[in-house]
Amino acid sequence: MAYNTNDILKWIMRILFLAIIIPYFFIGANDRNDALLIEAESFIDKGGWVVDPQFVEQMGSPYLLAHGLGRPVQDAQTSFQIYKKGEYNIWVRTIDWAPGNWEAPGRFQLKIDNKIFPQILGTRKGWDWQYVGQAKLKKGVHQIALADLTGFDGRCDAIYLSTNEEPPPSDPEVLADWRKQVLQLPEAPEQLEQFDLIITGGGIAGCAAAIAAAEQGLNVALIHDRPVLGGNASGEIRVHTLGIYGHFRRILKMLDTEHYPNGSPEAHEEDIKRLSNIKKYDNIRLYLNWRAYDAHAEQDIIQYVDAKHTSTGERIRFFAPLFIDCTGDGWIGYWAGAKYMYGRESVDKYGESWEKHGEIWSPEKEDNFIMGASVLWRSIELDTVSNFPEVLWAMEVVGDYAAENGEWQWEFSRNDLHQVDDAEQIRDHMLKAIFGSFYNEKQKPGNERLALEWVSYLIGKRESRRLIGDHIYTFNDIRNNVKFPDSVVVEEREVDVHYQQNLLDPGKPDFLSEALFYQVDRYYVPYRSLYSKNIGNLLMAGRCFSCSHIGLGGPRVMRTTGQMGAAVGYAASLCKKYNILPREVYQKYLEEYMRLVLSSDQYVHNP
Amino acid sequence: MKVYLRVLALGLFISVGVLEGTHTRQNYSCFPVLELPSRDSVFLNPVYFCENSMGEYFYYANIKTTVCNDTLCQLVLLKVFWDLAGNFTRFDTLQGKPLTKNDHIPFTSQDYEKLHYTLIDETSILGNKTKDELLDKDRSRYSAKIDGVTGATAQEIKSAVVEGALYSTYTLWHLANGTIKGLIRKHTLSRYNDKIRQQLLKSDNPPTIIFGLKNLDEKFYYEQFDQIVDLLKFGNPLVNFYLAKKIPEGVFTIQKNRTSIEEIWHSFDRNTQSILLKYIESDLDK
Repeated sequence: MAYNTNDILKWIMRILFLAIIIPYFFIGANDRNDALLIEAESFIDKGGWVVDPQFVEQMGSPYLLAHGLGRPVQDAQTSFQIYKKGEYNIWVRTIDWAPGNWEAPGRFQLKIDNKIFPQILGTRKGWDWQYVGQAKLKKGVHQIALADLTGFDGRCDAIYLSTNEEPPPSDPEVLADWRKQVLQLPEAPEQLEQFDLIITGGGIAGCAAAIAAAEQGLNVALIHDRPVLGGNASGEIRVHTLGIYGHFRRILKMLDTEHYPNGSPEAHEEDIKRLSNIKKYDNIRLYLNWRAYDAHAEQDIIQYVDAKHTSTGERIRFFAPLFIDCTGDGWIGYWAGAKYMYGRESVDKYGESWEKHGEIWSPEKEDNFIMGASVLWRSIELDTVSNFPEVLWAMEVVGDYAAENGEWQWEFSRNDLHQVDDAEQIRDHMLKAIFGSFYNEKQKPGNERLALEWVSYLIGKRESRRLIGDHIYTFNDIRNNVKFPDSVVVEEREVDVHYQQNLLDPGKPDFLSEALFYQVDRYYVPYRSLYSKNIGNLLMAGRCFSCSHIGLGGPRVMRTTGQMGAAVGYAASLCKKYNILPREVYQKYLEEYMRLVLSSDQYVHNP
Repeated sequence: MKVYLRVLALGLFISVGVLEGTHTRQNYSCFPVLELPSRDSVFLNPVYFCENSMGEYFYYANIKTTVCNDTLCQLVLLKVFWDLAGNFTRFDTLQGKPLTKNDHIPFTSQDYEKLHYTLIDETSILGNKTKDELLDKDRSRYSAKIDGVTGATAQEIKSAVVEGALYSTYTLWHLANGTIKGLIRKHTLSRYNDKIRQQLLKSDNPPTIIFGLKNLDEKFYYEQFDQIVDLLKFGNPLVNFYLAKKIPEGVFTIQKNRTSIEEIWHSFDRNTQSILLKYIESDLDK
C-alpha cells in the first residue's frame, strides 16, 4: 500500500493528538489497563459519520450516525492506546433501528489496524452491546474504524475492548454508572465558569435573549448542542421563520430567515449571518457543541447548569444568578424541578373550544396527542441516472405512498409516543417515511435521475414540555386579544394547531399532518408567561414558555419565540441591575422594563 | 367599482325572485327552522328541517348568493344538504340552473365531483382564507410559498377549488361549512330524542358520530355497550380514540365488556390501543 506525504503527515498528527488526549478524554481504561471504552463520538476522524446528540437522555450518549442517504459513508476512524498486550474481546454498543424480517438498514463493520471483523453490526433490536469478536493486540497505538455498509443511518455509541469475557452492562442506569467508572470521570465537572446569565439553547429565542442581555452589559454564556445556531431555523433543520417582529425588529433581523421554502439550502446563508451577528458581542461566550445535561436547584433557585461537549466529553459547570431555558423541551426547568405541562388539555380546562373542529382542535378529555415533529428533506434531478436501493424496512410505514420532497406536513405524533422520551423512535419513523416514499417515487418512469439531495437527521419539534409561569397563556388570551400591562410579545399570525391526517382518514399515512387555522387579530403574550412559577431565577423563551396546548398554537413560530427571547434578555438585565428575581421585574420595575422593551429598536450597538 | 358590484348584485337579487318555489319534487316532509344569510348578506335563505320516507332527518336550503370577482357578479343557486350535526352531505343543482365557471361555461360532471369533495372537506384550506387572500400576488415565489405554518399558497388553493370557479367554490364552501353548523347543531339538540340519537350514532361521518357521542349520558355506555362495540368495529380512528377516552372505567369491570374489546383489539389504531391498554388483561400482542 502506498502512502503519500499528506497521509503520513495526517497519521503523525493523529498519533501526536492522541498522545495528548488519551489521558483526558473519552477513551477510558480500567485500573488494570486490560479494558478500554472508546466513545464513538470522540473519534478524531469522523469520516462521513455525524455526531447525533439528540437522544442522550434516553439512550445514554451522543453517538455516531452513518447518515448517507442510502450510500455508505466514509469510515470513521481513530487511534487508541493498548497498555497491556493480550487477547481482547470487543463489543460495540449499537442498535437495529428498524428491526423486522429484513436485513437491518444500518449495518456496519469494525476494523482494527485495517483488519475487518466479519461480524455485521447494527443488527440487534434495542440499544445494547453487540459482540464483534476477538483481537490480539500488542502494547502500543492501534487504529480503529467504523466501516458503514449501507448509508442508512447505522449507529455506534461506543466500543469496548476487554481481556475479560464479561460484556458491559445493558441496563441504562447501571451502564451510566459503569461508564463514569470506566472513563474515570469525577462526580462533578472540574471546570467551573461564572457568568451573569446562562442561556441554554441557541435557537432563535436563545440567540435573541443573548443579544438583548449582552447589549445591556451582561456577561452571557450561550450553550448550544449543535455546531450551528438557529435550532429549527438552522441549516440542519431548515424551517423558515414566521411571525412578526413586534418590538424587536432590530434584534430579530440579525437572526431570522427569508421566506424560502422549508428545507431550502438557503438556510445555510442565514446560519452564517446569525453566527457573525452573535460574534459581534464580546460579552456573549458561545459554547457550540455543548449539551446541558443537568441543572441543580437549592430552595427553588438554580445554582448551576452542567454541560458536556458532544464529542470530547469535556464537562463544565456553569454558575450564574440567572438562567434562561431556551431548550425547547424545557430541560433546564425539568432538571431543576420547575412545574411543567405536557399534552392536550381537556377543552374545558381553559375553555378553549372551537366548535367547528371539535375533538381535533381540543379534546373533551385530555390526552398526549400533541403536535408532532418534522424531518424535512428534498431531492434533486441529476444529469445522470441515480440508483436508490430497496428499503424493505420502510415499506410497512409508507405502503405505496410516493413523494419527492417533504414539507412541514411530514410530521409524526402519536398518543403513545412522547415527543421527548420517544424522540429517537419518532425521528426513525420519519426516516422510514422519507426513504420509503422516495423509493416509491423512484419506481415511477421518468424519475431515473432523481436523487436524494438532503434529509435532515435532526427532528424539528413543535411541542413538548411547557414550563408553568405566573400566567398560563391560552387560546382565550388570543381570541379575546387580551392586552396585558406586561405585553412584551405581539403577534398577528393565525392560531395554527396540527393534527395527524390519518385521524380523519385512516387511508392516509401516519406521518402526514394537517393544520387548523384560527384567524385572529393582534394578540399579546405577557412577561409573566416567560418565567417559572416555582423556580425563582428561571426564565424561559421558545416553545417551552408557559401556555396551554392551544395557546402554543399561535406564538410557537420563531420570530415570535425570538420576541420572547429578547424580552427575557432585557428582564435579565434588570434582574442584575437591581439584584432581583424575574418575578420582581413585573412586581416592582414593570414601568422601567416596558420602557426597555419598547425602546429596543432604538438601541444602537457599538461593538 | 364596489357600487357597480352592489348594483349588479341587487339586479340579480330582483331577477331571482321568480325562482322561489321551483325546488325539485320532494319525497320528504320539511318545514323551515333556520335562516342562512348569503355571504353578501343580500339573501336570507331558509333552512328546512326534513324527514324522509325512511324516517331519517336532515336539513337543506336552496342557497342563493351572488359571487363576484373583480369585474363581474353572477348569481349562484344550489340546493345544499346537511346532516343532524350540521355537516355538509351533498348538493343538487336547481332545475335549469347549472353552476358555471369562467363566466358562463357550465360545470362538467368532474367539476361537480370536485365541488362535492371540496365542500365535504370541513378542514379545507378555504376555511382559512379571506377572499382577498385567494390570489397569490407574489408570483415570483409562487411555488416556494408552500407554507403550512402560516397558511396556504395559491397552488394549494388552486388544488382545492373547481378550476375557473374560484370564487364560487370559496363562497359555497363558507356557506356549507360556516356558521350554519352551529345553528343546525343547536336546533338538533333542541329536538334531541332517542331517534335522533340513533341516527347520529349510525352515521358514517365521524364528526357526526362524535356529536352524537358527546350527548350520551354515562348510563348508555353500561346499558348499550354492544352499540359502542359496533362503533369501535366501524374503526374510524377519530371516533375510536374519542371513545377510548370517554368510556367510563366502570364499564371494564364487567368481564363480558373486556372480552368484547379484546376480540377486536387488533383492529384498533395505536392511539386507541394506547388508551385502552390499561383495561386489557389478556396476553394480547400489545
